Amino acid sequence: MGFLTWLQETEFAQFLASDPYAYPVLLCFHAIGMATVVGLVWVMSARVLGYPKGLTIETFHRMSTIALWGFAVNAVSGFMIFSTEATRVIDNAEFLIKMAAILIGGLSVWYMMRTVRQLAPDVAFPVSLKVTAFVTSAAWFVAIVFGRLVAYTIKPPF
Amino acid sequence: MDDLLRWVRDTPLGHFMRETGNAFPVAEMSHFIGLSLLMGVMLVVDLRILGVFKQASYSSVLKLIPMAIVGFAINLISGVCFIATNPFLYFTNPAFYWKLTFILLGGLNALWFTFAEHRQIAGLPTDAQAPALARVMAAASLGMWMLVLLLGRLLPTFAPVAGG
Repeated sequence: MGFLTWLQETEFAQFLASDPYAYPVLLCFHAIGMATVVGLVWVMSARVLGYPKGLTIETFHRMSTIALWGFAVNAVSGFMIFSTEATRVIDNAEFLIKMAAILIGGLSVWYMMRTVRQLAPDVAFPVSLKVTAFVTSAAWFVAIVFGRLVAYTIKPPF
Repeated sequence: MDDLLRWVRDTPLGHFMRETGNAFPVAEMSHFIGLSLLMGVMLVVDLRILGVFKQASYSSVLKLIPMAIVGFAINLISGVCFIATNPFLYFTNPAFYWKLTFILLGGLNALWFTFAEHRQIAGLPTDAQAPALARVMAAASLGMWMLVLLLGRLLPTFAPVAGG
């Protein structure tokens, strides 16, 4: 726990926690990043599952680039939010489930993109790929649900 | 106005939201799910009209719109649930009025698109540029939904009473 205590007591983390604007601004970035990553991942997953069929897979490259930017925004803003209450959040089961869902969702997106890229054009998507798309969507759904739950379940500071 | 807000507060929905332990958190989760659906699709549709995702035909991208409507419907329902929980908290909050304004503008923009532009854009060849007006409206749409999201996220910050 040494590192987390140190992190939480850095001047920067203390500033983020106490400044009247810093925390709301972080939440804004985190919300925009969330909508970007999850929204685009759901569009790509929906396409793999067959909706809308006419949407060319060539768009995935650009979509995943934008989604990655959203992810970067959320990794940074998320870490900063984490730094303000690190020692309490690390004991929160909902937070750990959220992190696990993001890990599974991230690996699953990566595997989905790789498989789509390797398939010859005009080949029907195999069932295993559709299962991956479903798992991907579900994992990001769980990440949002448990992210929201953290706010309700985290121990108060004192 | 106060009478109206009291009436909203005392509807069966208001009672249900306040007296059911998990109702509010579930509405919040639904709201976050709905906003991601709406924003994800609007990003793809508006950016396509602005010239990103050039490989995709306009008509194929426009077929995603029902997914955005589902997201909007989820958020309309969960949003009404929030208001019924404590209407006074929302109707005393300046950020809430701005949020409503931009939802209205975003909605009018979407209606305009549906009735005035949808058919024309769907018929454009993939390599054609969308008309200037459509591109301006697409940029405005992205900006407005982004503002709706930010103002929503900032509601607790601007609340005159602590809460939310």
